[in-house]
Formats: sequence, structure tokens, C-alpha cells
Amino acid sequence: MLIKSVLPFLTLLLSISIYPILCNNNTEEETSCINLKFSISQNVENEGFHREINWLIESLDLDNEDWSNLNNSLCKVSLQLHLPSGIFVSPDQISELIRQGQISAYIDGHVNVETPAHESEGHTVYVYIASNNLEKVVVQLPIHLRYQRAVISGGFGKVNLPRPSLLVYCPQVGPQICGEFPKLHAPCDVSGNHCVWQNVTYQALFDEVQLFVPIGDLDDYPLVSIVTLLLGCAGSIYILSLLSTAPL
Amino acid sequence: MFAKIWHNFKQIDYKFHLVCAFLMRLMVIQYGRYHDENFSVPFTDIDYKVFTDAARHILNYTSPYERHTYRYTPLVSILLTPNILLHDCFGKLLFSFVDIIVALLIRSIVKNTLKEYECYKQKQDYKYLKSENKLKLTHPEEKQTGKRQGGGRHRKKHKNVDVRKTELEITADLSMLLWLYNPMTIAIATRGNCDSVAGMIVLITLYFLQCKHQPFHAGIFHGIAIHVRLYPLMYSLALFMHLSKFSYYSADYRRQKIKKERKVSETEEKVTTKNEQHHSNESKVHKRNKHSKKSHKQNKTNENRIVKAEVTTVENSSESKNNQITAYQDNKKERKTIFKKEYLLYVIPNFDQIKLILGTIISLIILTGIFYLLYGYEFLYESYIYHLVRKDTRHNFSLYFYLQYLTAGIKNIGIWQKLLTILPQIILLVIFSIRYGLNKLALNFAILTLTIVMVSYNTVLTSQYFVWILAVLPLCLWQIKMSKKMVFALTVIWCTAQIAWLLPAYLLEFHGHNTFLYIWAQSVSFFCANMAILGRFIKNFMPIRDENKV
Repeated sequence: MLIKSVLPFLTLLLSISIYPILCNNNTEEETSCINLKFSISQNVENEGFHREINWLIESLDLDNEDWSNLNNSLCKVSLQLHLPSGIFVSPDQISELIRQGQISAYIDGHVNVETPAHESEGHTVYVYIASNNLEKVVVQLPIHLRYQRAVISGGFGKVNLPRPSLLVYCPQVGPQICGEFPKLHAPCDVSGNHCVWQNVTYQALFDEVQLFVPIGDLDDYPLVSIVTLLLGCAGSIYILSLLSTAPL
Repeated sequence: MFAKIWHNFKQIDYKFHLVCAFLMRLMVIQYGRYHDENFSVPFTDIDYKVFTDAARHILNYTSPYERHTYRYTPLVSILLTPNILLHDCFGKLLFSFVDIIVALLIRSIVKNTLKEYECYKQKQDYKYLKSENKLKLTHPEEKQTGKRQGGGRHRKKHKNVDVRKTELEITADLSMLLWLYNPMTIAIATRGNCDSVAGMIVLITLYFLQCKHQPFHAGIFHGIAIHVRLYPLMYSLALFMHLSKFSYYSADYRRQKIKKERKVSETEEKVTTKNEQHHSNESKVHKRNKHSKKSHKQNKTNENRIVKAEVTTVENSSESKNNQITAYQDNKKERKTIFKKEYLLYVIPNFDQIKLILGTIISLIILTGIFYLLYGYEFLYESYIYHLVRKDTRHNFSLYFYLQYLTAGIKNIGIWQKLLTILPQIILLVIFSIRYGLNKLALNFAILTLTIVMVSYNTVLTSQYFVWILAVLPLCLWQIKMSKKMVFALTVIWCTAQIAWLLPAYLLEFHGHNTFLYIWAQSVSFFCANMAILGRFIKNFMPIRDENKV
């Protein structure tokens, strides 16, 4: 009886004493969310089949508090790049760069480095950026272009290099980033375990680029096929004719 | 002045060269380390990284085929595990060491074939000459030098510094030096390319076959060679034919020939004089020699026709009597594409040939079986099937690259295109295998011509394939009689053709210019250069060297 009468009172007391703590917590979180604003500029170096993408990522309006918050947090930042079938990232080159400590990246999807574009599939690369120097960071990624199917009148083939997405992941505990962004599953790090990332908007200081690849000219086909095949035969006939007169 | 230096150079002991060449390679390896640290274009071969990564997989108890583009036998990655355990230069050291072994093999094979050849010139019974001492006595040049210095061999044993080498040794050493000091072989070993290993195993096969006369051992190594790199498979027919009892210039052939010469009748004489046109030094028996030779020069085609008729008539009469003659004449007929039932006999293996086949099959099956159990289908695909079906449309030295690229997207290509691509090289390979394989003194040349044909007709051709040629080229260079001018011209042509190809290829790959047609044109000229060189080799190849003629 006594217990029954005391219980509501107790719960009331408990909730009153806890409420400010909860409330406080909430307000603190709201104020300490990290206000991330990025700008990215992109530049593709080299010509021909082997290129290098350089991204310059800069954080805008990041005040000291945000800065220290970000450093204390376990947040991760990465660039996600969907490569079309005409472009590939060499897995072996990447693992070599990882071993040398020059890059931290993960390739999602199977990459065959030898097939031409029309026999290949696209894949996705994640380049992880260390969060302690987010103020201004340069990320380099070597890419390679694939051969494309020969066409009539040849010339150059176009490959669109899509814009990368900027992903941010913050663990459940600890400070979060401000604002709501679309969420997606993607590998957390080089090992390939999945996390839920947020696809953060950024200010792109570049236009989407098109890369040009030389393409074989199908107009050459009659000439090439006739000369090549005849020459192959002619070579062997020439050698055979020599054999018939050469001494044993 | 230069002649004197050259003379002294030739007298240097081969061991000195071995040490010197090895030190040279060590220096280049050291330079490679410096280069890799300081320049963006690496010195080390891409494949070397592949091997190292595959070795890392081996150490982690995973399949080496988890490494992309690892297309070799697991043996290579197992051999290179010290790359990770000890030092990443281990593999390069190993390949340099392989180079030295290759050099020694070249030396002993050349020495052996030279001896065989001298034997043949001496018209002596093979068994009589087999014992080394007797051979030395009958060796004319050695006899001379022996007289001059009182036995070069004996002096060497007494560690006399002023030991002179015999002609035979000088030829063997020079062949070896061609491999040792070749900038290309140095570059290949020190950049970490494993193709010299395959070359070494091929040479071991030849060594056992020619120097040791152990077909079973040769077969074992042939199997390993095929396992390591698929291409020695193409040598199989030549090796098989080499052991044939029907081959000419063989011991039996010589014996029979001497008997035959004693028995020659008036009617048969013309046939034998025809033989002498190729090795006139041993045909003193016949006095009509000169006469027939002259007439041959005057009217080659006419006489060819006559001789062919004569040969067939004589052959019919003495068919049952003498198999060797048929064997010899086979080549003439083969060229004239007259098929005879006796040729089917060639295919029936004799005891030695069975040993060779057994050895090959045993080692091949054991190696394949072990690795199949370990790594499964992936191993089969990557190390065998891939090389058979390889279709790389990216630019390379091959004559067929642009054609393959243009037709890569087209589905309904006629079968004729494939046929015309494969057939010329198959025909050449088979004919070379039979023609030079049956010649007891020309097995090395057979291997060389087969390699050149294989490389220049390959649908994918990169510069690492040239190692295949380089490893067997020194073996028979002494049999190819060419003037220095010609050698120089051919070398220049070959190098120019290669460099001329590199320019448009560089513009395409690194500057994105559309130079496909130019690359193709250069591939065509490179192919022509290869064919021209092969042609010169065949024209000037002399299994029987005749000093009077040259």
C-alpha cells in the first residue's frame, strides 16, 4: 500500500531531476554540431591514357571551435567517385600507393585492367581523407582510360568524368555534423566494412570534364586487313621460298 | 692496335667474364634502387611488383592469383618469397644469377655442337669420337694449337698464365659473351623480368638432349619449361624430330654414308655429288665434284629439275637398301610437296623419342596437378588458358594489333581472318621443326628460327618476348656466316624499326594523339625487318662450314 502511493511520486521526482540533464544534453549537441562547408576544385593532369585527378578540398568558415570539435570527433571524410566503363583505377597501383602511405582508398567492384571500354563495367572508388588537415587538402588519384570500340572516321572518344561526392561519417557517440543529408551505405575504410555515410553538399569550383581518348578508325579497316593478312602470308611464302634454295 | 686488344680480349678466361658480368648486374641493380627513389618513371619492371605481391600472398597462405594480372606459374612467386622475407632486391639478384647460368649453358652447348660438327667433318665414326681424348687428337685446329704450345689442355691444368684458348673455345666464349654483355639481357634481369628463367630451362633441355644424350631428362625439363612459360611447347616437334633415326648428319647417317660412298656405282655418283654441294670437303672420293658444282652454278633451276628426277629414280632402286638416303632426300621432296608413305614412319616414335615424351608428360602433369590441387581452376586459367586465348587490343609491336583492335567490336568476323592469322605461322613452325629438327647439327638453329617465327607472328608482342630470341641466338650464331657489314646493317635495321615504332606509341599513350595508323605502319615495317633478318639467317646458315667456299 505504501509502495503504491509512493511510486507515482517517486517517478515524478525522478523525471524532474533527470529532465534538465536530458534537456541540457540536447541543447549542447545542437550548438556543438560541426558546421562543415567545403569547396572542391578539380584538375586533371597529363594527357593520353594515363591521367591524374587532383582535387583541392578547402573548408570554408570553419571557426576554432568547429576545428577543435572536428579534431576531437571520430568523423571521417571521403570522396566517392563513380567511374564509368571508359575509365578505371588500377587496383594494384592503388594498393602500392596504400603501402607507400600516399593514399587511402577503396575500390568497390571488380576491375579488369585489360578489357576495352565496351566489355567493361564501371566501379566506384572511395578516397579517404585524413580529417586532421581538412582546412586545405590535396587529393590525387591516378586513373587510366580504356580503349574504346573503333568507329567510322575515328577521331576521339569522349568519356565523362563525373563529379565526386563528398561523404562524411560520424560515429553515433560524439559530435555530429550540422544539417540533414541523404544517407548511404559505403565502405568505412580500406578494409571495406560498411558504414552509413552522409552525402554532404559542397561548392564545386569546376565544371564536369570530358576526357578524350584516341579511337581507331574503321575506315582504315579494308587497308589494314588486306595489308596485314597478305603480309603475314607473304612473309611465310618468302621464307619458304628461301628454304627451298638454301643449303641443307 | 685494335686487333691486338681484340686478340687479348679473346684470350681472357671465361670465368673472369662471368664474375665481371655479375658485378655489372649488381651495379645496375644498385642504380635501379637509386633511380626508383628519384624518378617518376620507375626502373623496375611492373611484373616484378606483380611477382612480389604474389609472393606476399604465398606467405599469407593465399593464392598468388589473387594478385591481378599474375599470369605465371606459382613457382615464380614461391621462388621470390625472399623478396619479402629478406630484401626486395632478392629476385633481381636471382635473375642475374640465372643469367650467369644461361651463359655457362650457352658455352657448353656451343662447345658441344662445335665438337659434333668437327666430328662430322672428320668423317669419323661417332662412337669412336665420343671419347673426349680421341676427339681432341683428331680435332684439326686443336692439333695445330697443341703442336704450337705443346698441348693447351695440359698447360691449363698446370695453371700456366699464358694459356692460349683453342678456336673452338674462343667461339664458345664469344657466343657466351654475346649473352653476358648484351645491354638488353642486363636490363631485363636487373629490371626484374622472369623471362630469362624460361630461357634457362629451354637451354637446360637442349643441354641434356645434345650434350648428355639423355632424352628422358630433357623431357623432364621440357615439361618444366612448358609449365613456366607456355611457348616452349612449340619446340616439341623439333626436339622430337631431333631424336629421329631418320635424321641426316647423324652418326648412323655418317656411317651409312661412308659405306655408301665405297659402294657408289657410276649411276649413283651424280646423286652423291649433289650431296657434296653442301659438304664438299668430305667428298674427296668423287672426282666429278668440281664439274657438277660448276654446272650447278651455271644453271641452277635446270639442274634442280634433273637432279630431282635422278634422285627419284635412284631412290626407287635403292629404297629398301638404304633408309638414310630417303631421310636425306626427304627435305627435297618436302619442299616439292611430294608426299610419300615412308614419311609416316617418321611419326612413329623410337625409344629415345618415347623417353622424351614420357619425361615431358610426367613433369608437366606433376607440376600442373600439384598447383591445380592447391589453387584450382584459377591457376589453369591464368597460367595456361589465358596465354592461349590472350587478346590484348592495346597497342603493341605485333603486326596484327591494329586489325585486332578494329575488329574487337565487330561480332561477325569471317573465319578466314582467324585462319589467315594463324595459318602462315603454323606452316612455318611445322616446316622449320621438320627441316631443321631432322638435321642433327641444326637443332639450335631450329629453335632459333621457331622462336623468331613465333615472336614475329604473335598477336601480342611486347619487348619482353625478345628475350626468348636472345637466349637462343648465341647458340647458333657461329653457324650463320655473315659479313660484319651485314651483321651491323641488320642490327641497325632492327633497332631502328623498334625505335620508329616507339615514337608514335609514345605520342598515343602519353599525349593522346591519334596515331593508330602510324603505329600500325611501324608494326608492319618491324614485321618486315624481322622477316628480312630471318631470311638472311636462313640464307647464310651453314650446318657444314666449308672454309674453301667462304
